[in-house]
Amino acid sequence: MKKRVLAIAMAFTMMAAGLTGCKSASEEAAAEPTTTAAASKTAGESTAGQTTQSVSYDHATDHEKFKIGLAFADMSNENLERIDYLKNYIAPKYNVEFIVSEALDSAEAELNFIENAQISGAKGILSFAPTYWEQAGNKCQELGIYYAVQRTADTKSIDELEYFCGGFGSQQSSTAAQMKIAAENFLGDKQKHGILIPTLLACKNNVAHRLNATAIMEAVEEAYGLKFTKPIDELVVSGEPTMAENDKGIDVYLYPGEMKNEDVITGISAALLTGKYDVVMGAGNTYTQLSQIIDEAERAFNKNIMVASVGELSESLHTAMNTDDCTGNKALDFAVVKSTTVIAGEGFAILMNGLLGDSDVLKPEGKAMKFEALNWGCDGPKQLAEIEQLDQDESTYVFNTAMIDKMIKKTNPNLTNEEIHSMLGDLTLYNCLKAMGLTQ
Amino acid sequence: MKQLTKIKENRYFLEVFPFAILFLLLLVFGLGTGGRFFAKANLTGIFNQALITATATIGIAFIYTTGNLDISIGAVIALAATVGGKIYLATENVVIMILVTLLICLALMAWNSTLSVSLHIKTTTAAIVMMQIYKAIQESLVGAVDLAVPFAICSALEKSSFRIVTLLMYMILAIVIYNFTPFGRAIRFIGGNENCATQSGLRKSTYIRLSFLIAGVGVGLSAVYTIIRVGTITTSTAGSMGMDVMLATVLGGMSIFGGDRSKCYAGVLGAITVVVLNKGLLMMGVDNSLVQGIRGILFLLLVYLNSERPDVLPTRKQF
Amino acid sequence: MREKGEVVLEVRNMCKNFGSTIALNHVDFQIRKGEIRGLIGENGSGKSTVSSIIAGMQPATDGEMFYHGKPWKPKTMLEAAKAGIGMIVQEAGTIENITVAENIFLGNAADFLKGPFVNRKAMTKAAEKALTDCGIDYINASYPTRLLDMQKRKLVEIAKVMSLNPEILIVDETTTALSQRGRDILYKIMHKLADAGKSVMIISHDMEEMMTHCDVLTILRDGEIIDNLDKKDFEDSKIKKLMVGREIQGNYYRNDNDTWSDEVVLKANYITTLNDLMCFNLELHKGEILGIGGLSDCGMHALGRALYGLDEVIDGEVVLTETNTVVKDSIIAFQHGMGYVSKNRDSESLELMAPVKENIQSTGYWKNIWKKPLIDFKKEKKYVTDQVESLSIKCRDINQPVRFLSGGNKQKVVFGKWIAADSSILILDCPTRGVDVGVKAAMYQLMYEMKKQGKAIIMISEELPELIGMSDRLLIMRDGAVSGEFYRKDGLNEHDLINYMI
Repeated sequence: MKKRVLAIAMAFTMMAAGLTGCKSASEEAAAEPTTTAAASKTAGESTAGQTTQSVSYDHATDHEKFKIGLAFADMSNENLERIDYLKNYIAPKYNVEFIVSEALDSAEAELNFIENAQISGAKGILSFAPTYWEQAGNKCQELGIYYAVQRTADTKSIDELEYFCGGFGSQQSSTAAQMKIAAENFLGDKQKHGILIPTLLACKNNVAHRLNATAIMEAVEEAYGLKFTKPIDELVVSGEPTMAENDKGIDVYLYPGEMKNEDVITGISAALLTGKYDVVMGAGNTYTQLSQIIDEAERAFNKNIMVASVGELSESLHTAMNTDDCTGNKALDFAVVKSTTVIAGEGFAILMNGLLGDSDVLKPEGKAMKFEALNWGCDGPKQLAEIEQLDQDESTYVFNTAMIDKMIKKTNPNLTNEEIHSMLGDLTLYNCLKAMGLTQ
Repeated sequence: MKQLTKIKENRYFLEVFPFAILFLLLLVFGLGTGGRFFAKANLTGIFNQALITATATIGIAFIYTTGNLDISIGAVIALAATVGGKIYLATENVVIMILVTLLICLALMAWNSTLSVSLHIKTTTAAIVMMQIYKAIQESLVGAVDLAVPFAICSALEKSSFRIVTLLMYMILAIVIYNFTPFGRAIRFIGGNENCATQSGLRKSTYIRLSFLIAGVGVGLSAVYTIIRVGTITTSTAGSMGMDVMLATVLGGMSIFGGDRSKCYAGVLGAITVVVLNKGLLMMGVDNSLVQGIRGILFLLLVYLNSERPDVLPTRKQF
Repeated sequence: MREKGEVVLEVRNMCKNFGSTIALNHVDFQIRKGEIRGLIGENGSGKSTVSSIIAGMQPATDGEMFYHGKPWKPKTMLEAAKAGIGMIVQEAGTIENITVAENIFLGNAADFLKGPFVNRKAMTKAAEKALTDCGIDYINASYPTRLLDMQKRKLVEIAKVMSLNPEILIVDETTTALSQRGRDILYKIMHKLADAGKSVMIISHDMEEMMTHCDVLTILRDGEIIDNLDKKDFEDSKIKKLMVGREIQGNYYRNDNDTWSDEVVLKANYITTLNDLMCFNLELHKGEILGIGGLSDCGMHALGRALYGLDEVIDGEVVLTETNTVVKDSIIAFQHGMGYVSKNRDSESLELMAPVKENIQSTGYWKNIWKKPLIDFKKEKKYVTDQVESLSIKCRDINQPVRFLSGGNKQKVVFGKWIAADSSILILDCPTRGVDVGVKAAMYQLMYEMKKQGKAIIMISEELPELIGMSDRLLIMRDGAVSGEFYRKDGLNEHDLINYMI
């Protein structure tokens, strides 16, 4: 009995601690605007010269406070940063309030969240959970609330729905382009390399993985001037580990399957331990799970393996790009990354246009489109250090209020659909650094 | 604490308590949201969200009552929904889809019970093994592309009276069987003391099989509702069902170890309580990170109060 | 009261409630140095409750205790044991999967620590000494406890309690689990302690044992102390009367010589089971009470189970002669009017968590039907209340869980469900085990009435007096076979019977 009392007492103290913790956080947030207001003011002033007509609209008075549901499939570090950005930076400036979901691990959970958000007054759903876009899109249409989803692949079946504002995200072809650059870097010495390509879910119709794998294969083809005996399209979607035979006798090995699958890791490890491969280029995020087996292979043969992967700006990426392997090279040689605020910010801007009744700027032909930002390549610790200066706080957010103001028709009355696309297309790493005054 | 224990020991406590909690929650949320909580749209939402778990739990209560556990139902629902979805895509016939889904659930549950009854494997063990197998079959059936039943069909079924009618029919049937037939009495007695039940001449194996079959119907309906609700069937469909059902059962005031104080409506109460809690907290504008904490604490409290640990006459356990 | 020595332990005004049930009602008594005190009373009279409170198994609801003049409020049995109050409990108190030595020093292993390890050799040696000190020299202390039979485990428990040199030894219904040899060991220990100026408190249903070994008897009834008797005032009928609160005749068995029918209702044809029974033959007649006796492991309990279809019969068959049905399992047995009362009442004959109602109903599911397959609630209620009334089962109402009833009332519930089912053949395995005299008398009366109604009863028992008192015909078993058959009409003599048992 005593134990139970204790357990309950503990539970309550924990809750109390949670409450106080939360309170202090919100106090901080409340205290912050004074400083941030000044910062945004300067940012506003600096852009004011370019878009003078934007001052006529005030979010605080010209529209009711919008509630927006934020749907997340998981609570990854990236998503937590997005929540922070949206809740603390965006919400006070645009007179909106966010309702954050729990980790939505099933279609059912997502639909429940959308319904619950709507009944709590939400007028729109900003979704970072792309898996069940079709149900979610239809559900929002049924409930009459706007919907934007982080998805750049096909959403044909809901494109014509009135309340669907469109898909947003990073451009898959830009990732592929960066991967191509990586391949060129690695193979530029014209030496004979053995190349291992984890193709992840390219065989299961994952467009991004397929595009990336294809880009890598094309770069290999180009670097050696070789010809694969089978078409590249066919090779990258193979469901079995495949040796891509070619006329130059270069070892190119495609290994499909998810990284969380134990068998896949074992298979790749076995391939590496043949000593044939010294280049590993993942069609997606592969470096975390592969780092250990790559290290083993490097030690076994005492030779460097070049590694490229899609990455997510985080502590582990930082470590991987700054740590020497046993041969004195970096553990991760090339990564494709994206800005955290760009994805969240563009999604918000798109949804806001819908909420403010400017859907026409989003879909001039009545059909929802994709809004795609660029990915950035990162070829070493130096470049990573540059990237890491971005998105640190309100003064370095790439997608700051000036950017968003330009992308909302109410504050930028001349905004056209093409302009949105071109603005996003201009967000190269160089341009962003320049805008922040961070280039040397 | 002593008084709390005394209240807990009251015979009617477990009967009334879950209702009281639900009523209390409704009251708090009703007042907290200025009555918005009782808007028709929200009540429909509660029905929609609680439906799948509630239906499965009514069925599973029959299994729990006999003192058996079956945690494979998530996989059963996923597999049946997958086949049902495939059948629909092949035939474009809703009736066939529903019937096939129901039949598959019945067949799988029958097979589960046969495994444990005939081969004398513990139901839990059998369920764990079969869960893996069902899951593997389902995953290979789903394949690379998620299975999608056209939204229009699902939506039409969702709006029709199909779900409420079938649910009511099943619920009434379940309550009658559970409370008004020798079978209902017998499974409770078996759950309480298997040896004693055997000595009182109860056909244990037959009754356990039957309880799985009745559960199969509930699970089957739940699978049909899943298709209707989400349209798309993926490898993660109904993934947490096994746990959801247990939680709903316990919150509804029934022990998952069965026995005399079992009741088949517990799951419905429990499922509704979970949904009401989620919705209410969100509608009152409680922060998401707090929602999880509050829910956790409330569940702990409910489970504690619902648990039955009587102070019997000397237990005589030494040290 | 005779003043034997100074007071070691005093209980003042002790009360204990379980929910609304009052187990102890303002109890006062004292234990003195050098005495063997017996606690005696009907089931549920509060004997075990008193002793368990003294030994720290549970707290009292109200009242005080003084041990050596100081307030005594033990929180655990370990605390009590260390302070010198040791208790041997009724149920198994040993852990199966550790050695005898580890059981003996359970909770005291620290004495044998050698660094972080336990010095097993020293522990085993000390355990052997503890056993021999108690006069037990045939148990190997290094053996895993699971290899010992129940009796030897009990002896291990005795050694364990004794190893702590108790000032007060409490023996709770231990003797029923012991053979004569074990009992003698225990009696010796008790007297040795008493002679050394320590105190002993014993609880038992065995009147003879109590009268032989106790100096003082404290009689409890319904949670109150009725009387304290000194040895010189011990008298069987007087004690019984005090226990039950009414006159119990010296002989409460049947005293007729009624015959039974020639008609055979149940027949065992050379049955062999996996263990215990080999080509066993038996015939049971209508209106007959067939007693089966022997030592505990002679196979008579297995016989009961086999007859009811609970143990697999691998050769031969059990046949219900009237319909020529082979009893393959308990379902067939039940459907053909058989009933079975297990000797393990709590674990097999009752669903403890369920109310009285549900337990009695369990035999009548298909009898109390309104329209198939729906139950008739009225019929069902009558089915239960008839039994509760006619057997005068003491319960708050029929919704009270049986676990709150006393042993005797629980047994009445078990009888109730079979009487309600109107079983024509009853197999009773130790039907009066752990039941007080009052209930016993009622049971015997009931059996006799059933006999008169033409029902056939097999009574398996380890107590010869009741077999002699109740049986029309008596089979004595030894090593899974009948070693002797006796008839009531010829007169039965305990001494003769024992010869056939051993």
